[in-house]
Amino acid sequence: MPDYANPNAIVETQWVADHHNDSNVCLVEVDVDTNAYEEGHILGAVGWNWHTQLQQGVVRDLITRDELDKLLGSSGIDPRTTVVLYGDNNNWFAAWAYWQMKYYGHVDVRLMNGGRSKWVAEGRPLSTEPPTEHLKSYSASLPLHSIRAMRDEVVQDLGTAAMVDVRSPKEFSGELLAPEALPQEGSQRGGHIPGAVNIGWAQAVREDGTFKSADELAEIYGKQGVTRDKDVITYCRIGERASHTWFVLKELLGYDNVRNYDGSWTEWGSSVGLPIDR
Amino acid sequence: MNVDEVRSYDGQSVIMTLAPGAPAGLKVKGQVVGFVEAADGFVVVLCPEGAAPDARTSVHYQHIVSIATNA
Repeated sequence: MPDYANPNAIVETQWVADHHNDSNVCLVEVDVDTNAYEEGHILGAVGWNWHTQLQQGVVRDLITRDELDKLLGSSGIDPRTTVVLYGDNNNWFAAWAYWQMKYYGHVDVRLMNGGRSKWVAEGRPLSTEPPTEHLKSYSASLPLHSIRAMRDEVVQDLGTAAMVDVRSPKEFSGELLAPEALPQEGSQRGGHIPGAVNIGWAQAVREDGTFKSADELAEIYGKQGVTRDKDVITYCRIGERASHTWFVLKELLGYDNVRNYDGSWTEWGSSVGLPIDR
Repeated sequence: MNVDEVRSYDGQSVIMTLAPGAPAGLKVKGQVVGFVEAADGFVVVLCPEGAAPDARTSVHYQHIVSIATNA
């Protein structure tokens, strides 16, 4: 992947097949379908449940540093571990976990290009065997606030930042409140943040789920005004699809100032008094 | 436009009319090379007419107004 700004941010399925037993590599599967891991995963991979392990249970927020320390340590990850994330739905929640790990300063984290579906499509094996338990000690860094946008910061940046709404066209227009295959819940109003452009996350991938070339990606975002000289904010409904696009802009295209607004539409579309376009 | 109808064009050269706001523009011609299926919908991946064989354009099916074989 020599044309990507950070070629070390992704690995191919063959690399995973060759290295998944390396002592310094930890595979982690994170799926939209939280049952998928139990039905079969890459041998040795740890499974994280995005719903119960990557967000707080009561307050709506990312897990705390302490919780992350425990999760990573119990997964056999220390600060020097190469963590390779993959999952279903073209790595939606794997990208979310990637972004969270960067938020807490993990250095060597990568996405498996094409995710779980590509691994399966290639006829590679899955296992139901639980991974061997290796406990490690982990101590996360202070949060990297420069890659996260909070609601009030988005309000402040209306009209100046390039807002990228990565949801489907009907969510952007306000016709739907959530992805069409999911219950229509989560926000009080439909529509989008004023000034946002709609570039669905899937614009970034090929038919096998792997990322398009850097030149293609630069054209897709550039022609909609999402250029590297701007402050860019990505959002979706709850932040995971936006993490996928954050990954593309930050790691594959090397944009300096890209933040993921993980409060996303479920927060914006339910907040009293915030402006909405349809 | 329903998903099954769009899926039936797999492998064919097509011409699509798209709704305003589609990143690919209002009209796109090319060969359907595959699909991306996810919880938020179905995306058609094309190799645009006249482009390099590995070039790709993606169209969310919700943006498709019409699709026909490009004879």
